Amino acid sequence: MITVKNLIKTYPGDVPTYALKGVSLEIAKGEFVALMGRSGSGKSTLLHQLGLLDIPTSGSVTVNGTDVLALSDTERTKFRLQHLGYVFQEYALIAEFTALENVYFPAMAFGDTSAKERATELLRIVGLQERLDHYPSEMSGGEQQRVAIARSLINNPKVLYADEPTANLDTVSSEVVFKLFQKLNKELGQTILVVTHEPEDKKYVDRVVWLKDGLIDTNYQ
Amino acid sequence: MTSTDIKTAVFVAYKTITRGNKSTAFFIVFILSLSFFNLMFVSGFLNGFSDGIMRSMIDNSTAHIIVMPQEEPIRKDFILDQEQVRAQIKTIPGVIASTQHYQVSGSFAFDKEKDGTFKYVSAPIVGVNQTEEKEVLTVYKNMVAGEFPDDLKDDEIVLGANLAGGFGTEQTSDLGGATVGEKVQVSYSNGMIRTYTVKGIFKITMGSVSNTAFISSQEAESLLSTYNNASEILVRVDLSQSTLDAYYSRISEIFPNLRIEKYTSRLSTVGILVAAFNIIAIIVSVISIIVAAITIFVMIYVNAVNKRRQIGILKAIGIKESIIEVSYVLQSFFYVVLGTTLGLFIVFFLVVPLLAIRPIPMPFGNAVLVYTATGIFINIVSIVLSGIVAGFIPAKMVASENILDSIWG
Repeated sequence: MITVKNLIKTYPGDVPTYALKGVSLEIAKGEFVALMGRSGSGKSTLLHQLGLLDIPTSGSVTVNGTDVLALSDTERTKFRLQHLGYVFQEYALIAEFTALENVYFPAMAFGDTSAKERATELLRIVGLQERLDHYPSEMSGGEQQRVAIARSLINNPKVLYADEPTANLDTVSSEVVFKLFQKLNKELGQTILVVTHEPEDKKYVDRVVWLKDGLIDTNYQ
Repeated sequence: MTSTDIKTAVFVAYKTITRGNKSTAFFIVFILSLSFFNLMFVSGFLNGFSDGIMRSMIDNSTAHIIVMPQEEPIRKDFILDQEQVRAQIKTIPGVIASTQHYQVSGSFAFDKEKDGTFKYVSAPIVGVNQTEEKEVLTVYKNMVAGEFPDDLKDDEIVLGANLAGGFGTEQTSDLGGATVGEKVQVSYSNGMIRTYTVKGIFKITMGSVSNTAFISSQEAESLLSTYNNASEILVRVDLSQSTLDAYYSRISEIFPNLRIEKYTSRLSTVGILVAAFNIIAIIVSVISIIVAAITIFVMIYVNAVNKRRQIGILKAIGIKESIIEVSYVLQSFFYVVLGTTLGLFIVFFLVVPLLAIRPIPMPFGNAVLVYTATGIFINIVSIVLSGIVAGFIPAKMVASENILDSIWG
């Protein structure tokens, strides 16, 4: 499903920062994988490259047979819209849209006419059927994150990336979010790669990939 | 862009405007309305200035078209059978009225103190039929003393304020303060000497009309020993029915032997002034448009920078940059249209009525804002286009930023 080969990300400067030093990774279809490691280990950087939010210095990333790094800017944007779901640590909802609008908007941009119905269904799945017309400012952090998850699923992505989705949530909300991921993975076969630093989150996932200083730490696989 | 892209851009623009900060939106619209008002007011005022000068000339001095005696092959002193000439002119559709003038000159003598000390001044004198004259010129509306009677008698005269004197600093070219009811003596070049009672004094700031005196046409005919002729015929036309050039051509066709002039050929110094004001109006308008465009740019840029996170999120979820740019252009268009509408409202429903109540006096009359439909259209199109360009550039700048930089700043 996802094949990462020798991925390198360097931030230039007087003293260049080597965030990823040659990461290689395989994730199978329907797998629920956690990416763990200490702060600064390169977890989020790796997810940004896989989510096409940033461009790596070198290496290759293949998603479902497509060499995504070979795509043009426009093709990459389209690929992101059609095939990838991304959940940010800080929800990243559009403040001017209601919960329902936030969820169906990516599908609307894709020209999907049944977007509203599916968005309503997704919000029901994440337990927010009563909050459809609420704006982000009227919802709790946990609720906003569930809206973000629903949004990430609206275009039936091949893979769902989540970057520390529970970092700003309390324990109860965190559990709700991870159980939701588990449900999506088990019931819908959704491929998920989640960055987390909480050891107890391991219980929800099929596999943990550890990162250390920009490299896969094979000692902990 | 596909129709889905446009629909998406409209949706983003609509939600951003309706859910955005109302105070900020009002502030943007208000600033834009002031920019547009500035553009409209300055150009309208300068147009009004030029228009006022020309209007003053047409109303008080030349009318629209001046018909003069033939010069070729034989130069003549008068237009002969002026009644017949004017009757023919009257048949041209759009001609409002015409008036006959006799032009003479005389030397005025006036004893202000009645002590035998006379002041002598030479001045042009025009013989008019005031009943016809008031259909063409509006000198009678500018009286500062007495009146300009329709039945001006042979021994009565109406003086310009600059000739009568007493209105401002005394000049060598005035009579030192002749007032209504007093008598002035005029010596004509043919040796005739007449005494007239001053019936009225008029004052027109623009041009040299106030150096002139008016007597009745019968008196002028008596002085010149002529009848039913004219030194010139002034013609007032309706410019909404046809152009000045068209009237000019038609009259020239009918009277190929007479000399025909448009009022514009009499502008001389005033013409240079009007041309200068027209150039200033264009320069000021261009500067106003540039200032308005920069204002819009700054407003939209600040707005776009404040929405960097939103733009970053839109890009992160896979929304094309072009959709984001169009949505910001639409927002800019919306603000500019509202600002322009408010600006038009300020001009036509606040400033124009205010100037009607509290006019600003100018040499040619009260200052007015003058607009043409084309001028207003150009101003609106200029500001809207500036708004679209000025809205697009900052949106393009912000939308082309790195996604992560946009989201996290």
